Formats: sequence, structure tokens, C-alpha cells
Amino acid sequence: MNDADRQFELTRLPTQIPGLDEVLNGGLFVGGTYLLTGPSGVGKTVLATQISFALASEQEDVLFVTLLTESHARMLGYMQGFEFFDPAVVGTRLYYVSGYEALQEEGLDGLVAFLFRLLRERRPRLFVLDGLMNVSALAPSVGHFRRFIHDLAALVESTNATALLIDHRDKDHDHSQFAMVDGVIELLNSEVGQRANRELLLRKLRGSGFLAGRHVFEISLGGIRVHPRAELLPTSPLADPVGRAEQQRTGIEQLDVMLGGGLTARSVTLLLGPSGSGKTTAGLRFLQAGAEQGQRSLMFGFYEQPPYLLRKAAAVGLDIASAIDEGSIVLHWSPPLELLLDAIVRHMVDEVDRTGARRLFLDGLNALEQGALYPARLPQVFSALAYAMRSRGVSMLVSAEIRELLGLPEAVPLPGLSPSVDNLIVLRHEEVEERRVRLVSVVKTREHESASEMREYTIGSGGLQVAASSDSAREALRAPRTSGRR
Amino acid sequence: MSERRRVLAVDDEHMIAYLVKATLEDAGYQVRTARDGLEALEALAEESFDLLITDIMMPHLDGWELCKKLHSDEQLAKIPVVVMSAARDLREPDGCRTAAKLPKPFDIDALVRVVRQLLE
Repeated sequence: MNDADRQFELTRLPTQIPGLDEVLNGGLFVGGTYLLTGPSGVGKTVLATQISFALASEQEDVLFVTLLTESHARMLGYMQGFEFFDPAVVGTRLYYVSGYEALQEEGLDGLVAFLFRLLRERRPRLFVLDGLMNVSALAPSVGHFRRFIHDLAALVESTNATALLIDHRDKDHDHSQFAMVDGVIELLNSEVGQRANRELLLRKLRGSGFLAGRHVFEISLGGIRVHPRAELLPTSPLADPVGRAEQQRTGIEQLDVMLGGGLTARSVTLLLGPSGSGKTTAGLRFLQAGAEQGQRSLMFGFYEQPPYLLRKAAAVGLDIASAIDEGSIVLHWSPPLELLLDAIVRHMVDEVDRTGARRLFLDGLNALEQGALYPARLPQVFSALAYAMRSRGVSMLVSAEIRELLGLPEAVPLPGLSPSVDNLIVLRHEEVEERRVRLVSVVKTREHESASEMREYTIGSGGLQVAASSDSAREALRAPRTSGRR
Repeated sequence: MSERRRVLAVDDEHMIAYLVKATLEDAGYQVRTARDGLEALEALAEESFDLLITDIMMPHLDGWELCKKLHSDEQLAKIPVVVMSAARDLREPDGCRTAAKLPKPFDIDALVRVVRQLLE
């Protein structure tokens, strides 16, 4: 590479904020000036401080200039509760300076001169300027403010630093005066019903593609974690997309017969049924069958807590506890309260990548629907999840509760999911002559012929057993009903 | 104490001219700035300089034309010329010789290094 090529070579500076570098397609660009904007209290200073500490911990110099009346001791006091806070780097690698006096006494030109001196003296990898709104307030005109940003960008570039300018703005404000910055990261607050929510929106990133749209982020003691929109899950081409995939047994012998040999590998199966119909039991058997074949399996549940689940499995003859101990089944449980849809979906994909799992049981699609801030997104997110699992060779079984089955055609509870579903299995109850009859039918299979009849099944200490023929189901359906179908 | 070496920095971008001036003054040089080639010629007529640093793309008289005018003058031709530009093709046109070429965006350390090499 000659000097002329190197002249235009762009080097990335990863922010090291979980999820943010994926949104940025690798990080900020060295020499760039970036605006970090959003309303008060949304987390702008936390974000900039977290990036600063991450770089300082790698022996990089960071210059943090404040234009605020708040003292540095007070600012740092607020930050010391975070896990990323390391007092050892403050004053050494991470250097706090106030530019408030320079701005007040010498105006915008004085501040530029002050910052240039500082940048030349300290030669930081990252330069943070917190309180840009104070420059804007003191600028004689918008033109003066634009020139200040332009001058700042030039001096940041010439010192090979990367700048984050923190600006407090209310939503829907005009970004045009920031036309000369290399990127705009906006943090947003939103309320959906009673629920508060934080989102990150990358409005612009010169020199690179990026993940567009609003990405949810959380602030915890660990700092900020961004959850890129699940619709944009990284995908890879399907392995052998046209070849006939092998079939994987569900572990329920006669159900496999009904399915034409089992579930197709890398397929998505929706298991519908009312409460108590045995969806979880069937799912656990699906996982155990995988473990028996040497496949690692994952379960993500939301309603039944693990100790209860294990007792329930043991009662129907499934030794899930041993499989968990051996590591062949990995169980994840989250309470179905204020779930972050993007976080859960990403966690599933990450866990598949980490464990190399070939089976996944998602027990409770309804929890995702209830947890989604914007339920209208669910079909697209589900579609992205299905594609991510298929491309990883994973068979996914998803249970969903239906209140009461009035007829089979409208069985899918969430509109828009059908195109992503390869197989559809429906469980139902009928009250026949004072007896509850459980019936199973395979409504749809995409790659194999399946049985069209309905069969009876039972759940007992031997697990979930499907009858070898449809005779008993036919008989039950002919008998007078006590309740059930109306 | 010897007299400080004199540099003429020519750039139509105010901030770049400011950065060059501030950086080289800190490094011990005396610097005058000009906004384009015509202003630079006026400065060269008024006082003597030891080095010319010029942008290429400027209004009125660009960096290459400025360089050619310098080299067509017996006295001014002795002043080393450093060009600094975002343009990729920095081949000198006929009638212009450069002592160094600096890409833009420029690095202040590289600037000081080049100036020191040429003047010390």
C-alpha cells in the first residue's frame, strides 16, 4: 500500500459497548467526530464514560472535557457504581478537564484554541466533549456554531483522535447544524403503556454501512448493553438448501409415524394446544430424544421454573435432570415480565453458537408476544429467528397456548407466523362421556408427507403416548360430547 | 539566539491554516498564513520566507500555479515547497518542484517532522 492509499484508509475504533459495535459495523472511525445526542437522563454520559474506561483499561489515553457546571468529582461519583469504573485510570489514562472557563471567558474561538492545545499536549485516542449545548447557547449565530463544529472536526482529525460530542437535545430536533460530523448516535426514551424503554438510533455513519433503526438498550451495573434489532440477526447461507434434510425423531414414537418419520432437521415446528394439553411434556421429550442421539439441546422457558419443570419431567418418566448434569440439555428460564424481545432472541442464537446445539425448544411463544414492546414486530422477528436457526442446522420446536380450539384452520394464534413455520402440530381436548380425550393432529408438514388423521394420546408415568391408529380418536369424536366443541 | 525560520502556510480552509500555524509556532517557527495563491504572492512580495506549505485546491490561484510562479522567479525558486492535499494524484506539473508532499487529513506530527527535515 502506498501513501496515497493509506491516506484514505479508515481505521476503526471499537467502542467495546456490547452490541454497539455491531450496530456501527465495527466501531467508530479514527479521526472522526461523532455526535452523541438525546434527552437528559437517557444515558449519554454513561455511554461516553463506559467507552472511555474501556479504552483507558487498554492503556489508551482519553481526554474528557466538560463544559458543565457540575464538578468532575460529582460526575465520577455517579459513575463509581458501575462495574467498568476503575479509579486507577482516572487522572492517568483518563484525564478530566473543564473547558467551562475557556468557553465563558474567551468564547468559541477561545475554546477551540484551548482544545487544540489540550489535544496536542495529551494526544488522546478518544476525546469526549460533554456539554455541547453550552457552546450552542453561547454561539452568536447558527453559522458560528457550525463553524465551531467544523473547526473541532479538523483539529480532531489532525491529531488522529476520535471525538464524541455530547449534546442534550429533546426528540425531533433539527440535526442539520451537525451536517459536518461523521456520525450521529441518538439515544431515546420511550414509554409503551406503563413500561419505560431506552433505544439507540444511529442516524448517520459516514464511510460505512450500519444497522439502521431503533435498537433497545439497557443500563445495568455492568453498564450499557445494546440489543441490535432481532430482524437484523446475522445470517449465513443455508447449508445444502435444496438437499433433503435428515429427519429427527421427536421421541414420541407414533407422533414420528404421523410426521412421516419425524421432524425435518433445521425445521421450525409450532406446537399448539390449550393449557394442560402436554406441550411442555412433548417439548421435553423432544430435547431428551436429541440428547439420546448425542445432540446438544437447548430449552428456553418462561412460565414453569426449573425445579418445577424437573419434577414434572420426572413424573412422566423423563430424566431431564441427568441430561442437564451431563450438559446435553441446557435450560434457560426467564420470568415473562418486561422481557426484551431482541435480547431473548439474540440470547437464543448466541447460545446455539456457544453450545453447538442442534435442537431448541422455545416453551411459550405467548411470553415473547407479551414481552414485546411492539407486538407487531413479532412475525418478522420470528422469521429472522427461524432463518437464523435453519442456517445453523437447528430444529426448533415452539409451543404456543391457545385458549380453546374451535376449529383447526384458524389454529395459528399469531397472525403472520405461518410462513415461517414448517410443521404445525395441534393438541386438543374433548370431553366425551365424562372422560377427557386428548387428540393430536399434524396440520402441516413442509418437506414430508404426514398422516392426515387425528389420534388419541395419553400422558402418564410412561410419558406422552400417541395411539398407534386413529380408531380410538374416531370413536371418541362420534360419541356424544359433554363439552368441548361448541 | 538565532532568528526563527519563517514559514508561509497557504490554505483556503481557515482551520487547516490555523492548525499549521499553531503547530509550527509551538515548534519554534514563525508562521504567516494566506488564504490562496494570490494572497501568498502578496506575502512573498512583502517579506522573505524559508519554506512554503501550500494546499493544492484553492480559489483564484491554486497550489500548483503558485509553485510554478515561485520557480519562475530566480529568488523565490530557492524556497522549498511542501504541498498538502486530499488529492490522490500529487505529481508536479512542469515548472514546479516540491520538497515534500503531505496527504490530507494531515497529522501534526508528520508536519513538524517534514518541516524540521527541510529547515534544520
